[in-house]
Formats: sequence, structure tokens, C-alpha cells
Amino acid sequence: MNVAKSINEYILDMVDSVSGVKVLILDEFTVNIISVVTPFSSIMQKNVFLVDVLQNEARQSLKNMRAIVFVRPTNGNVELLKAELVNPKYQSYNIYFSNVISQHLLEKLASSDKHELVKNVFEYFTDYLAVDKSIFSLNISSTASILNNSWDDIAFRRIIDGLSSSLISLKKRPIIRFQQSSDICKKIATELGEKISTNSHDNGIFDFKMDYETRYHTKAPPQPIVLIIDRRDDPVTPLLMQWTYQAMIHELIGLKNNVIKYPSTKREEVFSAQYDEFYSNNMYENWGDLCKNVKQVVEVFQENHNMKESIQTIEDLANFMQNFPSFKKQQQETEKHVTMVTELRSIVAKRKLLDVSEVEQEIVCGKNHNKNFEALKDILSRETTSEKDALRLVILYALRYEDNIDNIRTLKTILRRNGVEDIGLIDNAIEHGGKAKRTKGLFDEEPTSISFKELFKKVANEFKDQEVLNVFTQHKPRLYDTLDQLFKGKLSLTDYPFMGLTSREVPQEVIVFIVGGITYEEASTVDSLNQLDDNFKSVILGGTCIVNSTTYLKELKRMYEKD
Amino acid sequence: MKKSILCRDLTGRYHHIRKSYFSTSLGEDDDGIELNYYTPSSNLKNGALTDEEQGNDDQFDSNSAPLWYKVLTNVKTDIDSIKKFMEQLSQMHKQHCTFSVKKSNNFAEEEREIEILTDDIKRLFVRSKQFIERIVLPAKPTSQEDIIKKNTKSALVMELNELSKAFREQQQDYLQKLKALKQRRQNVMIYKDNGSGAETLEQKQFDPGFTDEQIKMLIDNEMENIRRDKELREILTSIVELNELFKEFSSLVVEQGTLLDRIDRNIEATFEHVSQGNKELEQSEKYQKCGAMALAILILGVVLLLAIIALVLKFVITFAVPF
Repeated sequence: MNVAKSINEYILDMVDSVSGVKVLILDEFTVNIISVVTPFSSIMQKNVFLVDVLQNEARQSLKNMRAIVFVRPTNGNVELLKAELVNPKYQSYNIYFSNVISQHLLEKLASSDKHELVKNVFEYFTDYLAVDKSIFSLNISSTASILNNSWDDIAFRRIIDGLSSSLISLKKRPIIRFQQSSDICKKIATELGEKISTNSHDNGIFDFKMDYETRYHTKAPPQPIVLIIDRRDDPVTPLLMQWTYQAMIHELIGLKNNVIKYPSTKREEVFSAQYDEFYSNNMYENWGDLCKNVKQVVEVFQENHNMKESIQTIEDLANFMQNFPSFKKQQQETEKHVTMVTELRSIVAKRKLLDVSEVEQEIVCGKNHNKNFEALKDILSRETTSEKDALRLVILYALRYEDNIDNIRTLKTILRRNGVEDIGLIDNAIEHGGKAKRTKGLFDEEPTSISFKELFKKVANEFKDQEVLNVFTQHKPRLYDTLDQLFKGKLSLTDYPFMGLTSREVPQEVIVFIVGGITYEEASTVDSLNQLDDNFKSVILGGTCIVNSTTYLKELKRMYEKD
Repeated sequence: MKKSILCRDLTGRYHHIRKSYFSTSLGEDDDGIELNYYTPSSNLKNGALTDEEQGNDDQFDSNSAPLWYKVLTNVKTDIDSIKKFMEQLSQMHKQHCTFSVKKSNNFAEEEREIEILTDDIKRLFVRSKQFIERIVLPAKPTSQEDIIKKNTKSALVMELNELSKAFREQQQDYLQKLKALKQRRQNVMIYKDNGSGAETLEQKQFDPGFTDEQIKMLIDNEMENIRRDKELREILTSIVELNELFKEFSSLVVEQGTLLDRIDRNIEATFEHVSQGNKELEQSEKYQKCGAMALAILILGVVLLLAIIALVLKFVITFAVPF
């Protein structure tokens, strides 16, 4: 399963199937869908020489060009298309909707096509952003209203549409499991289940032959599973400082559709694994190894650079010219990553993030409460600790030691004294993602009858940890355990029940969808699972958006502001 | 390989609905609509698109087609030829470099053929370049047509660039093989020399030098070496030349994976360019209007001045007359 590849196939097919010289017309959402997977140069090779958005009123009339219109099937877009057909700018129109279009909208569109300008109408199931091979996002800016139980039908429909189109594009008709403790997960599972089980006579869109990557020849492979989880199941991961490359970029600078903008220089840069070898190799690498690898790349580059001076014969020149393009590319790549790593390093130093992270990890994973509490108080009192980090730390503490009301009160007082804003978020966080809301077992808080085997495993793990001894990466997102258990066939049926069809088989392909957003730490977890070539085990991770601590806290604030 | 994306073709259904709105005779072929089936997209070509495909060529009238479109079709044709020729050439290279002692007769002929084909390819590259040069871009694009021109040019340059890179690689590969071949041929020559030397050992005792035959062979050998070196050098020069060919267009080449290659940034850039271009156009128009106004004022001013002078003169004259 590879979401980026699927979307790219759709796009290339789209631009390929219309002949002649073409204009590509998008809407404000499909622009992003296409931008993260397909480079402009590759559609230019298919004679698409102009790209524009449907909403742009300044589009000029180009009577000889054929238009490929790739938009979401919304009422607004159909209205715009209607107006366009009455007053056409191009020779003909080939319309590709990114999802199912209703009969009503199709009729509306046809009713204004007097000149028969529309040659084709297709549904291409591409209603989501394939940020990387196994990661997708729906770019829904806020799910606060959904998670807060005040209903938001538009966002809910977006989730259903996006999730179902991602499954269709992967050619999967999965069995559904969902998080029992979350109402919204249950609603999504119900709705999706209905869609999947509807057959073709009733407008079913899941009526197709499934595609398997499998070694099995004799028996049918296990059914794929879609697992729908609520962000509240793991409210900790988005708040922790991350130490892998991609996650750090997102946490400290902010990735938006794979593009970053340096706050100091306002310069923008693409960080996508697609055409960047170094990034593709290092996006999930931890900080220490990353710095080592950057240094190495710089050294290799300098070596090559020196070779430039030794051109003597025409043969050398020919060789040099042959290698020049890749040399130039390497130079740009090296420059880009050196700049980024330097920037990250200066932020880490300024905010003393290594110290902060150590305390964080201890709060979340450590066992010694009193020691952690003292360490926390100590770091809060330091001047170097930023207000944002202080707030993050206290929220983490509150999530773990929810019942220690006195201590939380003390910490709040310290924050207030230091002039930290938004202290109310601490209570919000507990209300939102506290014990009552999440599935049990996030911090091993209530060890329900530890079996001998588990005890043994725990001890073994502790020995292992001592070997690794990396205090900054002790924490593993909950998704890691959830997937681990799922692949072992041991995921609790009461906490994560089936919707509709059930299966006792251990799955091979899993699509995880997190309502409320995914983090790049979870992306990294999924990637490491996909790296294991283990019986075609394959995981796709998707979410309503991709969060970092800043956006997560903002969301938390929004959730309780509306009341 | 068959592409197999999952999609639904609503064209039939759409056409049916459209007909129900605009056609006077209704309800003739109600069963012609197939609802909701999945099509592997390869069906696309057989199905709904055929009408469009037939009318393929008349996207532009052949006489009124803009220059950039003509260039596009010409260069695309050349690119196809280049690809075809390169495949042929690769076959010939392979054959030529397959080592065999016997075929020294064919050798020269093969070489000539290779040379001709290589020259043809080079000529096509040069011609394509000349075509592309005919698309002249304004300093700043002011319309979407300008953007299309620029993108056409840039797409062609990039495609040719890739192709020329592949061609250069092919040449370099051939060069390596040729060198190896040369080495092996030389070794054989030495072996042959030794062999004939041994056979005629008796002869040698009478004649310590070379036989005529041996001398001829040596000379041939030497000639061959020189010729081959020259050939090698020619290939090298052609590689370097070809590299220079598209250098002047390097600003049109977009590096993959960079910000410039993002579709969203391209839309923004287009929008900015065109609106800025328009603004400048408006401004210059305004200036022009201002210019006309200024001229009118100037002329009026001059006329006024002349009138005043005439008036003053008249006064002077009328006052001066009595005296």
C-alpha cells in the first residue's frame, strides 16, 4: 500500500487521457492534493502548460485549449462550473471529481451545458492528501467541534468522504474496528460500515475487486482492517518534544503540505521524501544520527568539489559534465539540510530543549513520582524555560498524575507567578484527554493483574532500556502498542470492537485513521513497522490533520472557548 | 503493463441527463445509460473519448495556429525521431563492439553507418534547439498566453535535456567499449606478430629484420591506432558540444522537488506575474495618457504665449506709430 503512488497514478492518468495541449483547473483543496505528490514538470511533459484555480476570476479566455477540471464535488464548485459553461473560456471540458458526485449536482451541471462542452465526467477517488508513501491527511483545520460533541456536519462528511476515498484508491474494502470509548469514532465506523456494505445496485462505491500484495496463492489473504481511533486515546504524544528529523521540523518550525517557512528569513523550502534522497533516508532518523549524517554528506560533497579542480584532459571534462547535474543537485540538497539542521540546533540550544525533554520523558515514562515532581519544579523556575514549554510540561504532569490535585495546584501557582498565559488549558487537557476519556493503560496506571509472562517482559524491557540508555526517546506513542497487539491478534475486543463484519484472522494490512490529527512521531512508528518485510505487513496512517504541540494546544483552547 | 486505477465513468449518465434538458426528441434510448460501474482507466480510450480523439487534430486550425504550438508539434516529432534513432544506434554499437577477429572488413562500414546515424541525431538536437529559439518570451509575462509559451518552452527544453543526457551517456558508454576493443585488438596484433614470428623462425635466421608482410601489418596496425584515437577524440568532443547546446536555456530548467516545481507555487506565481504585468500595462497606459495631456497643455501654453507676444507687439506698434 502506497498512498502517494496511488494519487500520483490518478493524476498522471487524468492528464494523459485528454489529448492535445491542456489547461488544468483545480480548486483550493485539490491544489494541495496534487501539489504534495505530483511535480509541475511531470504534468508539463504531458502538455499541461497552465494550471489555475476555478475560483480565479481573472482567468483569461484561451479558446484553443482543452480544460481538465479536477475539483471536489461541492455545490460551490458546480455553481462555478455552471457559470463557466454558459460563458466558456476553453475549447472543451473534461471534469474529474475527486469523490462521489450526487445525482442532484450532476443534473445541475448538465442543465447549463447547452453547447455540449463537457466531454467527460469521471469520479477519481483522490479526496485526501498523500503526504508521504504511508501517511495521509485530510487537512481539516479544526475538529474541535466534532470532538467536543457539538456537531459539525461539514467536517464529519469530510472525514467520511476522505477516508472512504483513501480506501477506494488503495483498492481496499476493509473490516472496521474502532475505539469504543469515543462517540465520534463509533459514528464514523457506523457510517463507513454502511458505505462499504452497500452493494452496487444501491449506488455502492465499494463494489470492486480488491487488490492484494501477497505471497499467498492457495488461500485468500486476511481481510484488511481500518482502525478508527480518537486523538484522546493518546493525548501525550502531540505534547512531547520529538527528536526525529521530520517530527522536529514540524514541531519547531512547522510543515505545511510538505513546505516549511523559516521564521527568520521567510524563505520557503520543500521537505518531501519524493525527490530528496537525503531526506528520504533521514526523515525518521533521530537527532544524534542525523547530525552525524549531515556531517558525512558535507564531507563527501567537499571531496567531490575538489575533484572539479583536477580537470586536465578533454576526457576529464566530458566526465565532469556528465556528473555535473547530479553534483549540482547534491550541492543544493546539502545546503538545504545544513541550513535546516543549523536552524534546529539553534532553537534547541535557545530553548534548552534537551533539559526540557529529559524532564518530559521522565514524567511520561519514569516511575519515581517525587523525583519527577522536584525536577519539574526546578525546571519551571529556570529563566531559560520558555512559557510554552513550561505549560507543556505541566499539562503532561497533569495528564499522568490527574488525581494529585494539590501538586497540580502548586504547579499552576508557579506558572501564574511566571506570567504564563492559558493556564486554563491544564484543566481542559484533563477534561479532554483525561482518564475518563481515553482507553485504559496509557501510562500503565492500573496494572490489572499482571501475568507472569508480562512481568517477565517488563523486566526484560527494562534491561533493554538500560542498554539503549537514550533518555530522550524512552517514550513510544500508544499507537506502537496498539498496532503491535493488532498484528498479534491480541487487541482488546471490548476496547476496539468490530463494526459489522468480524474476523478472527491476524491482519496483514492495516489502515489507521486518527480523528483529531496524527503526529510525525506516529508516522515514524508506522514507517519502522513498514520497513520490516514481515509477511507483507503494511500500515497506512491517516488523520484529520497533522498536529504539533502548538496546533494541538490551539485546538484544545478552541474546544472550550465555544462553550 | 495495464494501469488499473479505480474510477467511475459518469460520462454516459451525464450525456443522458444533458440530452434530457436540451434535446427535443426525448426518451429514444433510455437503456443507453450504464450507471455506476468501475472502469479500469484503459477503457477510457475506447469509450467516451473516441469522438474527441477523432477531432484531435483540429485543436488549432493549421494556418492560424500560434507559433508556440507549431514549435511544440515540430519538436515533439523530432524528439520521437531522436528516440527511435538512439535505439537503432544502441543496437549498432552493440554489434560493432562485439569482438571478433574475422570481421575486419565490415568494421569500417559499420563505423561509417554509426557515424552517419550519430550525426543525424546531433542534427536533430540542433534543429530542435533552433525551433525552440523561435519562441521568444517577453521580459515579463503579461497574459496567460505568455505563461503557456514559457511553460511550453521550458517543457521542451527539459525533455531535450533529459534526452541529450541519455544520448551523452550512450556515447560515453560506447567510448569505453571502443577503448576496450582497441586494447584487445592490439593484444591480438602482438600475438599474431609473435605467432608468425615463430613460424618463420627459419627465415629469420637469414633475415634478421621483418618480412614485407610483417612490416605492412605493423604499419596498418599503427594507422588503425591513430584513426581510432581520432575517432575517440571526436566522440569526446561531440559529448562536450552537446552539453553546451542547451546551456543557454538552463534558466528554463526546473529542478525536480524544488519549490519552483510545486504546482501550488506555480499558480501563485502565474497569478502574481499576470496581475503585476497587467498593472504595469495599465500604468504605462496611464502614463501615455498623461503624456498626451501634457503635450496638449504644452501646445496650449505655446499658443497662449505666442498670442501674448502678438498682443504686446501690437500695443508696442500702435503706441510707437504716433511718434
